[in-house]
Amino acid sequence: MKLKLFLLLLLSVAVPALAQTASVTGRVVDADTGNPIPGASVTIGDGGINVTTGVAGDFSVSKAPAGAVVLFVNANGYASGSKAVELYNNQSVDAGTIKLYNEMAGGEFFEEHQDMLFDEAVLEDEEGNSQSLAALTGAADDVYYSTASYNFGPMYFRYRGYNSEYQQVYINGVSFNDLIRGRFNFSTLMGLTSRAFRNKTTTLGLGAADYGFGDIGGSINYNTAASAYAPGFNGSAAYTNSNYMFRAMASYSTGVNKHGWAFTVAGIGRYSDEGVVEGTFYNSGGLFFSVEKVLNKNHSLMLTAFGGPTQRANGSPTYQEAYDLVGSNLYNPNWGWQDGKKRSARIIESFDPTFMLNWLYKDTKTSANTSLTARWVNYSSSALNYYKAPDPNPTYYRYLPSYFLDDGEPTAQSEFYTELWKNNEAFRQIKWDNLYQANYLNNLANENLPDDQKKGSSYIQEKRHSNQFNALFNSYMNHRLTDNLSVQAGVSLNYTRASFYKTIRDLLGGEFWVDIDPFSDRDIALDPEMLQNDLDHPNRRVGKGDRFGYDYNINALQATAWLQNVITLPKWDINYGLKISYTQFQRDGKMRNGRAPDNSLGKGKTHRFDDGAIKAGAVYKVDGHNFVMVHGEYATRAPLVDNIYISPRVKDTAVDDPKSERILSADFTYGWNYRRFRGAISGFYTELSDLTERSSFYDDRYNTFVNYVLKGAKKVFKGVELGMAYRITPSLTATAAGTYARYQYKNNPTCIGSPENGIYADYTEKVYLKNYYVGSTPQYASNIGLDWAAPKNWYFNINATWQGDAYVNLSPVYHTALPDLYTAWPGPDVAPDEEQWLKEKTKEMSTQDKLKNSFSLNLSIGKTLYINRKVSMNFNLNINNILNNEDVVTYAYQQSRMDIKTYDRTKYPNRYLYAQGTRVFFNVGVRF
Amino acid sequence: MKNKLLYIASALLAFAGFTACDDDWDTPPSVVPSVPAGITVNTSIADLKTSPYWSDERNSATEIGKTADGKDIIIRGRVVSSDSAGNIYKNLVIQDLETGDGLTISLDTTSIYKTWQIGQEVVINLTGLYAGMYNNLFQIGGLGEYNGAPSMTFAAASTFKEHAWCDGLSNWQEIDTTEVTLAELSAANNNPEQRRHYMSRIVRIKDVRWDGGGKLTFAEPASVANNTNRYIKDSEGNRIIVRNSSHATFQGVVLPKGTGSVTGILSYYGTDGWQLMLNNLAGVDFEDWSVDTPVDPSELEANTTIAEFKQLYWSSERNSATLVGKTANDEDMVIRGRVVSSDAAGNVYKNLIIQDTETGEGLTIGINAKNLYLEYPVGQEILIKVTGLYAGMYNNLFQLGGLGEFNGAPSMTFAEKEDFTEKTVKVGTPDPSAVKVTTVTIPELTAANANADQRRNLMSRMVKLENMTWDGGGSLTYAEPQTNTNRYLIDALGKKILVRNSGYASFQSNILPAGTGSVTAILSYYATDWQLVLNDTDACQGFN
Repeated sequence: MKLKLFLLLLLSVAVPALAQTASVTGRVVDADTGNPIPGASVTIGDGGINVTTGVAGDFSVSKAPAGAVVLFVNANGYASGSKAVELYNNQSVDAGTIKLYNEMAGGEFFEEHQDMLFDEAVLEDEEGNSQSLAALTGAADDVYYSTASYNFGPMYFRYRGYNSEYQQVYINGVSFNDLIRGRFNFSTLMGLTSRAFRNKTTTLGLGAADYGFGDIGGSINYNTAASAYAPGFNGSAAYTNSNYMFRAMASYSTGVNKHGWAFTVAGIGRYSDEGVVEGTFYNSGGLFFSVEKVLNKNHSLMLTAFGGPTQRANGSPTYQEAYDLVGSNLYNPNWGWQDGKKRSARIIESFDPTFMLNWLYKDTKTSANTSLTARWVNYSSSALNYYKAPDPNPTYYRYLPSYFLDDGEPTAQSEFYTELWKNNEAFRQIKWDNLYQANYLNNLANENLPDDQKKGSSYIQEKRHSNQFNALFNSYMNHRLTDNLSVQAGVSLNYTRASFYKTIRDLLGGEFWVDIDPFSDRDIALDPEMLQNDLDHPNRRVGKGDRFGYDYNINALQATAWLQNVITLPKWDINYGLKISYTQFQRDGKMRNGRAPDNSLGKGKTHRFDDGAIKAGAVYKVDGHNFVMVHGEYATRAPLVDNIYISPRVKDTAVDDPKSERILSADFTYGWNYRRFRGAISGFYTELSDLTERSSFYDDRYNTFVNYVLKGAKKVFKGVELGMAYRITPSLTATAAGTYARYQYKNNPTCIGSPENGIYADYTEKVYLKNYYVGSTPQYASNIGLDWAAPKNWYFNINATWQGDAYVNLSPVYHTALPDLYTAWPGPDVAPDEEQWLKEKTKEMSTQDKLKNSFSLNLSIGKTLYINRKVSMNFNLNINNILNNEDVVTYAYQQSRMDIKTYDRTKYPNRYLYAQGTRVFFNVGVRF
Repeated sequence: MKNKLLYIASALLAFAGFTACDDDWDTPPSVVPSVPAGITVNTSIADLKTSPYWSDERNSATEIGKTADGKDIIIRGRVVSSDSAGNIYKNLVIQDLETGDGLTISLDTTSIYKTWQIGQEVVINLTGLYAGMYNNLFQIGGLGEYNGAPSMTFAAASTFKEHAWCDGLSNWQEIDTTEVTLAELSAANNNPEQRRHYMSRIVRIKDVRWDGGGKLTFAEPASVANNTNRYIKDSEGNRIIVRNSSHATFQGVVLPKGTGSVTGILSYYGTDGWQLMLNNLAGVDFEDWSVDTPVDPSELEANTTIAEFKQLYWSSERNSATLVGKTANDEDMVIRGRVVSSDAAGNVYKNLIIQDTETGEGLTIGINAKNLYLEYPVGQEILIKVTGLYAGMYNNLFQLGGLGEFNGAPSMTFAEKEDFTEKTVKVGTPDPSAVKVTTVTIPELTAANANADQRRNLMSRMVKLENMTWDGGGSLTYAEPQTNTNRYLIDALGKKILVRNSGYASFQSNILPAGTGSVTAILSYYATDWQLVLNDTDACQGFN
């Protein structure tokens, strides 16, 4: 009896449960890009059952009512969507993909704009010190990020002040951050960001993603699956007055055909004979190709291949004195006249063909992406070099009028040079004819000399190569465990072999070049062996195309595994994850260098690092309109190859006991989202410790080049971000966004100086950096704008940006205790209290110069014309910096040379690089 | 909504506030030079300037050894020299902190002032360096060789850097400058103790004048000489060399005029003795730096007669001295006259008497120099720009000269020779026969004495008295030896007139001529009566 009752009870309990045993799964994606929409809300009918999509856009409801139900899907920034499905008890129905349409007006328009910005961001100098724009573009709902990426570009705004190595960029889930330099090179995208690389998912800051662990600076994943591209043809032609002038693009996608094949091809060409900066040019092409075969409903295979050869010449940072004399902040010292044409000395060439094979698997609960990638990076930058001859650089300090001033007062000579600089263009550019002439004179002299005494070129143009071969394996997956819990995990392996060497590009009329180090030869009484770059082939004569100077490889390997859980609850979204990685690298020298004969040729020490990271985040959904979000991460990270080797061109020596960096980062956000007013305000705090930074410069105290390594440095990045958008009318929106932050060093690290000529021993000193600012990025930026989606498919945007609180990249040399500074005392007549004078002088030497604040007013106009149902045309005009503000500094650094005779700070002034004034971009596109 | 905005605003402010507290930059410490631990001072500079290092030889060089207890000899001093003005060359001079004793160190480098700053304390480990005399100047330095013998030379800068340390920053206000007079230095020259005491000391000498003030530059330019000796002298005539370099920044500055004080470092050389070395012009404390522009002869034109001049500056006071100004037309006053006096025989002393070439009116000029006859012989016509000189009464004798002082009041004194010669231009060649002589009698002179105008007219004239007899003629000498002596001439009526003869005249011991004759002499004046001054014995004519 009791048993029957018990069973009945059991049944009655079971029955309601049994009554809701249908389950439904699906994925929510962006209708335009095909990218998953995480955090979308999926509600079943009016039953009140509500789940949130996971990071892969996937969702599952396991206790759904059987029968016909409608799934209502909502996500911020998207129009709501719905799908009707039939559910059955004890069965799981796959609702498939639910597409949501982006609600933000002018989406296409923004893409064009973004293209232009990406191209601008690709301004690298040959040492790769570029600060590529952290181009985190809208997740449509984040006003701050959209603004930061579109409008803060000119002053090289960096998201939260981080270097670009703290932002991970993935292509199909494969991290493309360079193992050697740590950062992603946006020129990899060849400018095809609105076509081939338009399908992307952005994860902001410390948020969770489905394709990888991400980084404190956020991450982007570009999806190149051919099936995700909207079928059709897309072509455009554009004109701009920037580093290039003309651009033509075309792409064609087939979509998935009935045999399961999808194919996308895209091409681009960008050209200018001379850019907005005199003496620069641009010539690049790119080809992209993606093919996908859907094998069955679970598997597909895709192959992506792309590459774009580029050849360009650019300017470089120089002294304010030169800009002022020429009367233009766009003065470029790197070119000169030859035979009536402008010839550049600094030319950059690159071509990075990449091949990726992905195998995609997906079922109702799981998706996985496994890939193999092969990539060849070919990068070279050219520059002039010289030996026992006057410096060919027109801005060499002895060619500037300031060299001839007498105690700050003009002299006849300084006036003479001022006149030359102002009025004689040939004087202030490279004098190619003189360089050739010097070489011809050597040739003439050679005619009467025995072979072993012949002289090589005094001037050459050399090419410095940084090539890489990357072999990448990657696999990641997303698995839904329950309605509320999903797990993501991945493994990746990156093998990189990087080669560094230089070749002769042009002997400039000379017969050969002798392979010795021209700088060492200026040093006092050196052993001739020390001059050799290659002791096994001393004084080798090289010609065009020969390798010389330095030749070494870095073999690097990185293996990473990560695991993450995402829990979505009605009021809470919680995520936490863990990553471990192993990194190793080793130098393999190909030349025995005279300055380190025992330590340069052959395979060097292998450096190994074990690192890990944990992160966690939580979102509290106060109600449907307000949320509060908090994230935290603690990680260690292997130091970059660039920062470990003291002088890799010469020797294998690395920093003593290299340590991984430690990262601690947290942020807090409050966001609101009402029909007309939405926004978020965040505060962030990040601490980077155990940082290693390296620089090299000519130290007058030792009369030689010194490699300077800063160890154990600590930086703190903290600030507040705000982004708000107010919809005045359905078509008119006002936005305001900004950040106020401080990016500072927070300790006084030790530094090891290593004079390169080997005569002096390495020395250690303390560098006083506490509270000095991280250089060359504005710590304050704000923007207000107005968007109007006008009738008849017109689009207008006007916005204004204020940026400031940017400081010069400091040189640690000026921040050490200077024991001989007191010798610059001007005497009792000028400074009666020497102690007071010394305090002030020390302050003067260690002042970090502030860059000018900038203001920019920008206007954009777009129009889409629908010719018929299939064909549409779009016109975009963008005018940036309408007020032609030509004083915007994009990059500035303090020279490391110091005047040790009189400690005059003006003797070795800062170098600046300026952005251009008004920038126009006009694009016409057609789509069908 | 309002509440929301308020929350947003306050959250923003809170975050912004947190961000903004970024604290001041941590500037590096200012590094003040200091002496390494373990270096203890054990010797004073005074002790160093004794044997075995000090020598009576002109040149010597001895290696500095250790103290009695075997430690390195370590001294401390304050830097008192500076080569920043380029005057001091390769020398570093320090002084004992307590006694001010000076020490010269010879260093083979320039721009010493940068590292060894004036007023800075330095500690030097002398052991291993050399000490000795360099042309009688005691110094520390390195070992060299001269004519086969060891001699002092510069210490190598790198060596010295290993031996010496600066301690702290400049305390230039603490430099102890010793006041000394030229007379004291002169006396010290002959006393080895005193010489040691003053050698390399920084001193101030007050109340001195520059030889060539207003005219000469501090040093000749480098093309002429590396170094130039200039002189300063006191009112007693003592003088000292001030040795200036042609590479000094103040090389081309003209020496100041008038009286002032000079601060410099006492150096010593050979037998010349003391030489003063200046750090810079701050040590030359004078008020009048005006430069005398030499008179352009073509510009000079007489615009005032001697008679007018005497009238303008005449005073009824016994003594007066007035600066001669410009004429009523605001031009420099220029007078013209012919020389009638001669100091060749030494009777006329530091005086030049000239006369108006038309009227014979005379003017006495006091000039602080002897042998004026060489430049201004009898009969030479000269033009004098008198503006800037002084004129007045000297015991009732009107004269042109310089400004002096007597009992606190301005009084006439001799004009400095340079002051006179730069204002004077000679016209033509000397013509002694053109000298006008005015014949007078004693009664005429007595009458004139009572009348200022007549007195003025006759004063300083070349006069001739006839039928005069020497009182003591044939027996007395012209003058007692080395004493100014009054002699008398007597006329036919028995009236006497005073003749004042110098005990240093070449004819002092000659016997006054006997008999009667005529005497041609300069009519001078003293206190209440006339007196005659002879050029030489040729003044007496016709005596048998």
